Amino acid sequence: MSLLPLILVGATSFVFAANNIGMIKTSFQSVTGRGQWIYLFIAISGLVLGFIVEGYKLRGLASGDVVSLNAYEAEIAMITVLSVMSVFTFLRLPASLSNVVLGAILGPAMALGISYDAYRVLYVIAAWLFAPLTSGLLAILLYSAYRRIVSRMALTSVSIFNRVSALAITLLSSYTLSANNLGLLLGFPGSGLLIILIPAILGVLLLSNTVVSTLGWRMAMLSQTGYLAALVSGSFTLWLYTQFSIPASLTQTVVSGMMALSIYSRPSIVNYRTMFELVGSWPFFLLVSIMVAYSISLL
Amino acid sequence: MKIFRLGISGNGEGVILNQLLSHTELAMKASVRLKGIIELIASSRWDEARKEYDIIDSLESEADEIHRDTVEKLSTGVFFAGLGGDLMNLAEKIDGIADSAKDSARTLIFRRLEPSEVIPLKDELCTFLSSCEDAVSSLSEAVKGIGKSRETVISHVKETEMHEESADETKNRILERLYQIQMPVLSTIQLRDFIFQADNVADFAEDAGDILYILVAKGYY
Repeated sequence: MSLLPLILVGATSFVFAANNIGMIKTSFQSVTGRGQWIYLFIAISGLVLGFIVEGYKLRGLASGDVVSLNAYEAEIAMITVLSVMSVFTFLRLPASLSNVVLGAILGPAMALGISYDAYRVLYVIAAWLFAPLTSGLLAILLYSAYRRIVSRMALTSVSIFNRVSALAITLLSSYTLSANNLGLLLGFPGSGLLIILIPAILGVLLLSNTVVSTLGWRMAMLSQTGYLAALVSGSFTLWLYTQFSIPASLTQTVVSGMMALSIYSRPSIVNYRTMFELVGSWPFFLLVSIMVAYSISLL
Repeated sequence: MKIFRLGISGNGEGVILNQLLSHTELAMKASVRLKGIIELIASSRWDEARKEYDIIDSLESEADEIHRDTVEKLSTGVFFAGLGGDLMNLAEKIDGIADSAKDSARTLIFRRLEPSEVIPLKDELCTFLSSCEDAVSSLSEAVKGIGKSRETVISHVKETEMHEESADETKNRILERLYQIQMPVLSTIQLRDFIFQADNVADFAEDAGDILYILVAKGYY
């Protein structure tokens, strides 16, 4: 058996974890005041749990639900995914594995004339259009409920509540991120539990700080409550999508939540340009991946 | 127990709140003694007045130690995340109360004032110092409110502001009066400096109250 698929899956998993865990870490730091080893422990636990418990629900996307690729075509898709994710991680920008994977499997199909399920593709894209709305509304509801709850508490209790919530929400976010996004890699040849999980854990430990530094404070100045509500709404939206086997982006759902809250709670300090770049980035990632995969396929 | 050291759980917030409360109590104990010094000087009990100053001095030193400890805890712990900077400012203002009490007491002690110079102003000075004490006392209740409810904090901060305004009004009356009384210029300057420094007690209490407003705004929204 060729080692290339194993290396590609493992490397993609590593880069994905390095890139995407930064989003969760940003929110965690906003609430707890610092990054800690405990954060890494919880994020990794969430990644492992999510992948084992629900990761299988997304394996179909790359293994027949949208298009049936042979081993060679699947390698082209994986090379595309790895290249695009690596470039954006190197640029310290969050990139969505779900957007990139869909583009990467459509590229070879388009270039080599392989038939694909256009309805399924449209279904996924429609879901991506709908996700910011779901996440934004949910964030506002959660934020209002949270404010009602804490308004009766002492400030000391609010602080303890935020700290404990941040830990629980870190677990929830890394769980859903892993179930939805890492699960996608299961559809590729060479994938397996350890081949995906070990590099992902290494990615969190070694590189997750790189993306966090640029993303964190550029988007919006939200309160601790706001960050928590956005993270829960984004994670819950992603979890819902996982139940319908729809790949989605945690970055985009969380940022949608932040955007909704920034508009809802005034006065607000929002970098709308950065926010729109992040929420509206899915067509860009999709197109870039299609183009890269298409070009490689023609070569 | 390691879980507590990592800051997942545990009541680190409670520990910091208790430190702030002790700090405020010491600042209050120091400011309450100012009235005593005025009364002792007015009744020619100079040595006792000096002893009062020594007590204020030691209370201020104790407050300094608590201040250092609180700042250290806030800067190294994970408690009150996102509010640490504001709590450090709060501790700084509380420390300012104790410092001002000590500075004003020292102004009275450095040069011997004659009872005849203090007696004409004694009643109003006592009223003024009572307002300063009340401002600190209300602040202390507001700090306690951090462990109770948002409403408690806000209502006591409002009281602090009210007492500070009252202290300001009395201060202006005393200054007007002071400049009309015939006494050695040095005594006038000494009493004027005392009034300004004692007024800082109420001013620092009010500033601390403003920080409590910020804490409430940041913590609950």
